[in-house]
Amino acid sequence: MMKKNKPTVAQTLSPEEEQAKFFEEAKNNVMIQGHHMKLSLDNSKLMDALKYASNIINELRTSLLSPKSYYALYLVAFDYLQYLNTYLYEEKHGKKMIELYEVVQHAGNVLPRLYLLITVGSVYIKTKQAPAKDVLKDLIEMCRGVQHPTRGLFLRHYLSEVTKDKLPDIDSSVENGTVMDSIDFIIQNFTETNKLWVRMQHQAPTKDRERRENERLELRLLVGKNLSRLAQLDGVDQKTYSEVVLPKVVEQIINCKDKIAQQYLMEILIQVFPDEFHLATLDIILQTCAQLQSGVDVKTIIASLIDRLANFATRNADLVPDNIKIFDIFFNNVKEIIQARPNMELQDILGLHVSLLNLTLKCYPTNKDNANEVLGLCQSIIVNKAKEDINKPTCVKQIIQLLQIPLDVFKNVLVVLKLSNYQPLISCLSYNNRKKVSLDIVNNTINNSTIIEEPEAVNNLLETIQTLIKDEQDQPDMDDIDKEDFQEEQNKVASLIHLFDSEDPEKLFKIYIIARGHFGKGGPHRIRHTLVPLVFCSLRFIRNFKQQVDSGVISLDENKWIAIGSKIFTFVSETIKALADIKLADLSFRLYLQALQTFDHCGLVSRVKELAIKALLIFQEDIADFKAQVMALQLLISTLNSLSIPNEEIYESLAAQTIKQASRLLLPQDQAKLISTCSHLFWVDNPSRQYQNPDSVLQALKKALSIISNESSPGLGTFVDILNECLFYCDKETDAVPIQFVSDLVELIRTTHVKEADPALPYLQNTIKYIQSQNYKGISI
Amino acid sequence: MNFFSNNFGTPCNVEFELDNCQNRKTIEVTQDKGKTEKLFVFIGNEPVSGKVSINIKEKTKKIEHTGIRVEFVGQIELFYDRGNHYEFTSLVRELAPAGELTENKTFSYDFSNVEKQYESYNGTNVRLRYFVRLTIGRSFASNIVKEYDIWVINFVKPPESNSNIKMEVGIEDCLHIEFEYNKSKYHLKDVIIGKIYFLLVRIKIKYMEIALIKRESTGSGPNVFNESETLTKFEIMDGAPVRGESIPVRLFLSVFDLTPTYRSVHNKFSVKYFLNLALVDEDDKKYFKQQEITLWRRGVTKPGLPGSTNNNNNNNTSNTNNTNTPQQKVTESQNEVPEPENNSSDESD
Repeated sequence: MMKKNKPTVAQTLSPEEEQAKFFEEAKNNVMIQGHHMKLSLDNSKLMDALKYASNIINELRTSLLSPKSYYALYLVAFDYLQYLNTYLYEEKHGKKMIELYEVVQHAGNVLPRLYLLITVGSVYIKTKQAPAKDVLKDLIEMCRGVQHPTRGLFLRHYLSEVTKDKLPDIDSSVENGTVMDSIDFIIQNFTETNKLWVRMQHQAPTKDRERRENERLELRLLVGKNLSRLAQLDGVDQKTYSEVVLPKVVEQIINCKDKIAQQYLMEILIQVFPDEFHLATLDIILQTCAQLQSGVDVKTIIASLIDRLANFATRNADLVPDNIKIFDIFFNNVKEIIQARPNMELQDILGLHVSLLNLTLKCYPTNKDNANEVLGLCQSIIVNKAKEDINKPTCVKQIIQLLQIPLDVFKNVLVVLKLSNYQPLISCLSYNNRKKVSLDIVNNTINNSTIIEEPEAVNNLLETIQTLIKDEQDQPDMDDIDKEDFQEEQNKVASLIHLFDSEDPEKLFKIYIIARGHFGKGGPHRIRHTLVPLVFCSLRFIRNFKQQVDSGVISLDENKWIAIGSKIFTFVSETIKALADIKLADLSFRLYLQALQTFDHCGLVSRVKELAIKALLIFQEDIADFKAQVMALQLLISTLNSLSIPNEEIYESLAAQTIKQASRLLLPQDQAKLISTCSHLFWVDNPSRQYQNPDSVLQALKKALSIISNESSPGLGTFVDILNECLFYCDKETDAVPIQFVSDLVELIRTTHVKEADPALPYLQNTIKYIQSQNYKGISI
Repeated sequence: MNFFSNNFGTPCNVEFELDNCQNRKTIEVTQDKGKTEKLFVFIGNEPVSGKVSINIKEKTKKIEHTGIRVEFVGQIELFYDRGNHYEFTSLVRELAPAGELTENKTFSYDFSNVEKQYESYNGTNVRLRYFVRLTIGRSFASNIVKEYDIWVINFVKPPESNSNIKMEVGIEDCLHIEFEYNKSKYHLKDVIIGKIYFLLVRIKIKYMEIALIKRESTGSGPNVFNESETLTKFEIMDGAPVRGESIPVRLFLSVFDLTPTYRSVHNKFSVKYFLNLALVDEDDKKYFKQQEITLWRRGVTKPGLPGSTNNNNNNNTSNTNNTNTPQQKVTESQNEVPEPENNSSDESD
């Protein structure tokens, strides 16, 4: 019986030491009795041996050991019983098994009696002196005598262990038993084992709950082993599994109403049986999930099942029967489970959706409706949840995952955008997360170089990523947004424009208008990024269009062309104006010039003047920095020079305006330099236009010289600049600048303006060297 | 006076011999002072016949007697009432008229039709004996008396009605159980099969056991002496069950030294057997229910027809598989006819 020395040691030993001590004592006793048992067997004293064996098991009657120590003790005892088992089978002890089967039942204590009965019973089967089914039935029935959880669990484990190789399977005779007998046997053992296991939970004071639960977890294998045994039976085919095994197992799982057991058993059930079985019984398994206790982590169970089956279906698509609609079954059941379990955590619900989405995309990669359904279900659930739930990092992560998966799988934003539930789901997220998803979409589009041809699709895309396109109510203060990040985002958005493309000019222009409409809402800090490429694309568009008209690809009468041109003009100039309005003077000035050049190229002369005027207006009103003014004027001059404008009147007035602006510059040096540059306005020599006015050229150069000469401290550099301009005309062999003028200028510079250590001195020397090398007629220096 | 005096100074030895005893079974019976004696077993009304030899001791010349007679006696001895033995049967055969014995002499006797309605019994407070008694009457000395015991058992027919025992018992709001034993009458080598069904359990049960109790009652009226003896305590359950559990009972009676149930033997004594079902809770509090079972002695000639074990509803396996054949084996090897080397009963502790 139990050791009575517990109180005396309790005060001095820690619980661990106490355990170790109890264990050692019990183990020693087992070994002593075991030794005697072996001796008796060696001397063929079977009855004595049985007596000792019974003593061995008496040690297992202890209540003092933790499950771990008890297990260790069990293993020691097990070895001895195996020895006995072997003896009973192999040695000629002269007893019939039926006699021994009775003799061991005379034992007064139930635990030794049953261990011995099982031991003898297993040999009884093995010797074929009795039909296996009868012995098994008797053993399983008698085992009810042990109701103590730990002792019962191990006893039944022992039963399972020693009978595992003796269970009737497909090849055994009817008399001996069929696989059905084995199934009944195992399931009964499973059921009883599980009941004992569950009972452990309720037999401890509440304060010990945690410890008790840990102990239970240590013992779970004893329960789960039964299911593995079932899976190992050859006779358990898919039909038997779904018609016999599963209903009974499931019944027990549901009825035990225990969180830990349900969780573990569902997992082990899914683990030990093959995927094909699960496929055939999906409905049952999932309906079971719906009935589990509220604390059970159903999500993990279903998710692991989905993952398994998804992998299976991808590997063996041909093994999935047509009538099993994996996705539909999962989808409908998950829906019901979520409804049936109002306490389910949102993150778990979302996790299930992620699994579902993965499932359908793995099994049915081309089916978009399924994916859309998943997103729709998710959205419909989320709208009823509190904001703080949705915004938990774990939930957000999963929603984002749901949105990313289609992008990753389809690799085509157009396909994703066709999912009608996609965008609504984004809008459930908070600002930063919407932005993140939007960026994902943009990146995905860019990385896959997805060309978007339909205006509707563009509209859809830009609406979907609206967080990047415009300000939103819930966005943080602009000051809190990282400037660099913001810029990068906007650059990405801007680069989308280059992926908007269509063969059909009408469509393409429509796309630009749509894009303009969206970008236009972006506010000053966005349009500076987004509108610029739009302008360039529009300009490229009209240029290409013109080319196609010219080459006859598109036939268009003149009036129509003009009408289209003016439409595009309006579009472009309005767009640039939007930038000008937010005082991006430099930028809009340049864009006007760019547009000017394009429209000139396309022969839309009337628009050229308008654009030039807009550019000049900006120059006058908004470009304040004097260095910027110089740059701008230089650009203006070269732009004008490049034009093919046939109307001289317009051109000359523009040229005059330009010179006027040049002479208004702040610094005389700049005035002089720019006016000298303006000389080019009168010497246009390009294939599409010839316009030469030598007098005006010389006049401009002279004016430049006079401006600089009147200065009290004119810089040498400016003189050399003018000299170089003169040389340009000499090189071109124009008559605009007389040689004498050049030599006089050189002379003037040398005599009057050369100072020691002037930084422009090398500039002068190089220029003179150049003059010498050219051997201009009439110049001698 | 019978027991002691006649060994000392008796002039002759008396030896009994029984007919047909080469193959007759014997039984070891514990007599007074722990002495065991091997007795021949007689079944029912088997005739008791044989020879008795009177061997004159060497120094004895002759024995004068007033007559020699042999008797067959059945008597009940109550230990608290030492002087009084109740003879319920007695037959006398005169062997020789008054005269002298000068040489060894052997007489035959024959009690063919003697009724032996009771079984021999050796209890705590009472004993039922059958014996053959030789008396050599003497006028000047005490009679020479020699007794020779035999052991009588009676087979009976299987009981005509043998219903099971089924009962629901309990303590309100605390414990309700239903127990069932497959029969109410068991033969001595029978197996008690039953189950205990838990309808309500609100106490923490530690274990459950069945005790087999023998109760011997002697005397009558106000002077009844009851002597109870627990033959075994047989644990049938370890740990605490929950509602709905049913616990099997299988108790092999052959292991125990049992007699049939005796009811009011010659109005002098009774022997009854009870199954005491006891549940013990964690505070070692005991809950029990005692139920009488009737034991009867079954004839050997009809080895265990399945019908006779009344296999009504319970555990097939034990009936078809175990109950019959193994029981037969044990019948031959256990208490009734102990074979020399058989020690297997120490399993029963």
